[in-house]
Amino acid sequence: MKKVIVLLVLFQSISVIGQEVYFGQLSNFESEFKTYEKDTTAHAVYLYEKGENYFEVRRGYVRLIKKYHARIKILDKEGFSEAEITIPYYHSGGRTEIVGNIEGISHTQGLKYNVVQSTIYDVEVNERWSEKRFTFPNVQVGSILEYTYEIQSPFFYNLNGWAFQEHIPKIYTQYNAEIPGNYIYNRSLLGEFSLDVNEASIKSDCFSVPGVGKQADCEVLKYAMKDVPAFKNDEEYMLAPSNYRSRLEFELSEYQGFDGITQNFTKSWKDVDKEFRTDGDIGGQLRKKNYFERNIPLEIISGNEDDLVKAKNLYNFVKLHYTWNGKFGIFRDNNVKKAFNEGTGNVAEINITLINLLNASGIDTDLMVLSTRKHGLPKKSHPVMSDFNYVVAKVEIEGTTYLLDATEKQLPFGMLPYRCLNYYGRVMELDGDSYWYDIAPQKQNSRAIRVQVKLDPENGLANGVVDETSKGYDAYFKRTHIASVTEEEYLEDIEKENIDGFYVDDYEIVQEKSDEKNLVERYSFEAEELQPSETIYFNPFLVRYFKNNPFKAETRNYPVDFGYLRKFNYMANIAIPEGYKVKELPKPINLALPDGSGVLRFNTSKMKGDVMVVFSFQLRATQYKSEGYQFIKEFFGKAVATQNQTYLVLERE
Amino acid sequence: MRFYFLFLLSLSFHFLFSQDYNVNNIPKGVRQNADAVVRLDKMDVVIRSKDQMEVNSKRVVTVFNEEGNEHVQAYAFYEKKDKVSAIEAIIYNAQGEVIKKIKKRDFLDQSAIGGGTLYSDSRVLVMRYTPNQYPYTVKFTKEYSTPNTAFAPNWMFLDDYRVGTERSEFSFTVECGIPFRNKEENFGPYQIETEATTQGISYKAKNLKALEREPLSPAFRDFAPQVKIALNEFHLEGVDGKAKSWQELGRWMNDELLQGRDDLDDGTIQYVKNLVKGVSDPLEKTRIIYKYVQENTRYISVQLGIGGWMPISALDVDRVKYGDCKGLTNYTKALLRAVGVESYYTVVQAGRQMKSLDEDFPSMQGNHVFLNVPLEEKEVWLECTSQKTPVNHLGTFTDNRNVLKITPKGGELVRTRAYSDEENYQFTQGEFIISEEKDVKGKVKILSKGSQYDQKYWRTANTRSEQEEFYKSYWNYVQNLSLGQVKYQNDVKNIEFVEDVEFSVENYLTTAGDKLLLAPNLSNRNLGVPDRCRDRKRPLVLKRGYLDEDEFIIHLSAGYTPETWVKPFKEETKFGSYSVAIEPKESGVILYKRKLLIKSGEYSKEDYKLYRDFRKKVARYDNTKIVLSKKES
Repeated sequence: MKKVIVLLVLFQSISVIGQEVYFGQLSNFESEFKTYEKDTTAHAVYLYEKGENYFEVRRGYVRLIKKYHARIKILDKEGFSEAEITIPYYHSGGRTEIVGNIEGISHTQGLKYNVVQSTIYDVEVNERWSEKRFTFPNVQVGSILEYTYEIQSPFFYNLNGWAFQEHIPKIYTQYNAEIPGNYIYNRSLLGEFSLDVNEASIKSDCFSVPGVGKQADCEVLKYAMKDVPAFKNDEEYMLAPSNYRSRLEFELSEYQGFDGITQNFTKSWKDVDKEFRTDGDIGGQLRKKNYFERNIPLEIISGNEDDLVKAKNLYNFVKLHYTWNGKFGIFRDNNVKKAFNEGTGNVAEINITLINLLNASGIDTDLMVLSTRKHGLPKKSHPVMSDFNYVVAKVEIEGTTYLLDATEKQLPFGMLPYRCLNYYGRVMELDGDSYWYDIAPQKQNSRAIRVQVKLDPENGLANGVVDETSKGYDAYFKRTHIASVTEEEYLEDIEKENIDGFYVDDYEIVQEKSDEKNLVERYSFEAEELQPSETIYFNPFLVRYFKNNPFKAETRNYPVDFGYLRKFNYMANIAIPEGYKVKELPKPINLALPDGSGVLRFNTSKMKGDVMVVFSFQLRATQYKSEGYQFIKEFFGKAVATQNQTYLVLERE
Repeated sequence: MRFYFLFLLSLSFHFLFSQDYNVNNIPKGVRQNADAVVRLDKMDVVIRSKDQMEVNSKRVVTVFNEEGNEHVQAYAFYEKKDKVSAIEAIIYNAQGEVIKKIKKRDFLDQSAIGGGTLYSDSRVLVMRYTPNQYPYTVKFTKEYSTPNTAFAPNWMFLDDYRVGTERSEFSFTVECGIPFRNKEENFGPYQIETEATTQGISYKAKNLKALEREPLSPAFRDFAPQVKIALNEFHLEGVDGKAKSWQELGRWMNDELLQGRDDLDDGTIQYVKNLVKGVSDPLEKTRIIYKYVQENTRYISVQLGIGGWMPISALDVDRVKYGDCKGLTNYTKALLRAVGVESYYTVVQAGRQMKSLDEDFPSMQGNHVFLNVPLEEKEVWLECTSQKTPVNHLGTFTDNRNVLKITPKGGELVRTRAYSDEENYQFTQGEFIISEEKDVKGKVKILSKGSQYDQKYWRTANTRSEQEEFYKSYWNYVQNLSLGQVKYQNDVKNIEFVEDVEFSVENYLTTAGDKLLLAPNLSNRNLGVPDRCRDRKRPLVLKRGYLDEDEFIIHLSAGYTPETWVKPFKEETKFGSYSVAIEPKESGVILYKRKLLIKSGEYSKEDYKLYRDFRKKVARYDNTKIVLSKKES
């Protein structure tokens, strides 16, 4: 009996997919579809989606044709936003993609309502991108929205694959491509799901160009997935969602013309390296050594100091000289000379300036390309240049390697901004071969707080002095914060970060103990913390590392990634007020994450007239797998509870 | 020789002027507390004819820091029929030396479609410049002409908080003899020169100090000096109009923008007549039609030419079942007419700010339309863009303000209903059971009305994870909360929303020695305390008041009893009242009662500190813990 059911189910799903799909004609399965059992929270679901990419000669030119066809079932009113369709298309250098044959139907309550052509709008978004926009008529809960279009593209690199997974689930999604043998694309399948249909075959003599006698064979590809769940973003501390989203990526690597000439795009790192050296936007910009020798104060590069001092001077000079315009700009529109003159530039221009300067002063420096945390991890299997979006300098001085980025004013020498802490990059040497290089974030990142507290039970107050030392990323973030607000605003932010009724006075940065990687602050405070009574319940955590657990979701789909190691130490010395004695101290806590990847310690002790409180919270790994999420959540929960719920009990003698 | 002398003089004179943009020339008082100073803002508006307005402007802004960048405002919005004939920017450094010139072709020309709009033909030219030093100065000049004179520019002498103005000059000239009106607002303490000419009017102001932002203060526009201008006859996208009075403006809108756009085909008329078959009560008919509209249409905004002001026809909306606020309101009006209920298209300035259309200054105002249904016993309002808003629920979007009702006889300015403080009501009933000494299992029932209803009723569509996110942040002072069953009841007839929420909390209580600490307010703490304001300058404004009542029954874990009973606390202030009491209910069970009333109103600046103290007290008592000790048996 069980077997029969399986067979039946199988049969049904085959019948869905097996038959030809014609625009406007729903299958029985589709017209009778009511709810999506696999995800009852979905607002809409793709019943069917298909893309076809192939090459065709149109008006005497070879064009990449991208056809698209989709059917979306609207499951509830929140799903109505799926009825607004945007079709982006690209233009560059006087050539443009053409979007044609747009057709749309809403299948609502057994009737068909067509999208009228005059309600399809054309919007110029910016210099390179435009959009066709339209929406469906008569959309109701239960409607099936079907549409199709075709893009004719003169840009062969825009054959870039297929997104199997999106923000709403898909019951069936298929990608077909027919690629003449003379176009070669690198391809990679990303994400956690595997293909349900994976077919490749050769069709001979399928492609020719007018006036050329030869015919090319085509590779015919068919890839499909069934029941792809909606892609959901996680909350705090996560690498780029694109690392986990299921999709197929294509990148044009080679074109063999019918005239016998082969054009290489990206293929091997060797090719990339060669191209890189001659590319005007990157390699070319690295050879402006002479220009910089002429245009910067000579004493910075010709001094007699050792290389490290010289390198730091140059780094600070570039940081000060430039204002970053917020753009990354790695492969396009770079002009370091112009940027240098204007004092404004993108990441590539600023850091290429730095590389030029370091090289001009005789310190051997290379360029490293990397990808920011939001952009995703670059593929290691083969070069995909669009995976990279950022440029930094790599320099070795006296056996130590430093990665440098001069875009952030408060960033110390040798540290990268948080956005760059994405595990690895590729070093592009001007004379040698390129190679992978790991990004090792600064290890010493911490906040250490010492508090001296006096209690004033009569007035219900606690007051005292806080000494706080921040290191590494903690110091850098604080400095950035301090630089962006007035002192008063900064103090108010400290007050808000801590317990309610906490007021800061006499704030200072202890300059003699601070340098670029260390920040020492000192301030006095008054806190309205005590409830006056015979017995005092006092929470010794006046300053808190975090007030709430950042991990609130019950489950986690993707790894937790902190980017850098973290440490928080809190030490409080509480003077027992006259006439009171300690009745009870809280129990100590000693907690560790599996493999010692995190430690939480809390202890209190009595010493003469004082109570000493020591709390330490430490993360010894930057990334935790999603399977370990419950541990992380609990670990943070315990740390929060300890800070929020610990009370010393003091009693009148 | 005489010539030579003159030449020299004029040269030095010129020299002096080009040095003008040195930042040191800014008067000290103007620069104080400023992120940016408007060195000169000069605009000359000339009405050549009913359908031609020419605007010439020059704006020089010195920016002192990143926050000041947004005040440069070097951009030009334009519509299809507008012509931007000149646009240019020059950047100066602190010494007033030119560092860059930006020509028209260097401006970014892009579509100005905002969020929520499918299509509009508005475009904008934007200056591209990343400052690399502060301070810097931008001189921005533009000239444009437009056939649309319905929106004569208004003039603000102060831009925003933390922006000073050195010189501000505005002139308005009508060459074609059309009468115009002007209204000066909040000139109070400012010395603004006014000069009326036969053809127009001009204003000049100098050295206006930057104002600091203050929490809970009146809206900037309610105290900043400004001039409003309107023409009695104007032109808008191919249509001529008149507006001496609200009555006349409304009449024009009715005749030119609305009339003839509410036809429906016979099939639809028959269909809706069937819907209300056997119903005679107009309110019930309204409910049925409104429900039909809510179930069958959705909001999509398309703004093309006159379509920015004229609704798409009811026939079109009927066909595609979507439209913007104008289209959907007009469609609902047409459907109501088909079933014999008269209603009126109404223009409003929507938004939380509660901004009224200016009673004594009729002009094109407002940003939204909705529908007024005058029934015998009461007036009913319909928000036609929402699929969830109940009949006659105004909410904070359209409550308590002057709106323009458009009738065939003309416009009529009416006021929408205000919710009293007590009507913005929330009642939370909770029952909490403490188990294992420190864990809590709880369920609460939260009833919301008025503006508190407004904050919640749309939440019925929330997914489980959105619910989790919401309650975990609503009760963010409770750690380790796990959400249980959540049920919503939206009573659209009485406009009440009920949330039934179950939850559990691990380790909610704290041990302190052999005692337990319990914060009895688990489910409604108002911990927000407004920021400290050292030298308050403007009155305290509480736009909307509310009333919260709470009753929590707490079952203590076996053997524990409160060590000390917290005395009932009650505070009466002019801003409202707060009371909290804990009383024994039966053995091992306590009852926590709380009431917080916040009264809307405008209070003196001195009251701000008192109000803050009041909120601090509320926050403190809401956080209070009681001590539980083990009963000695």
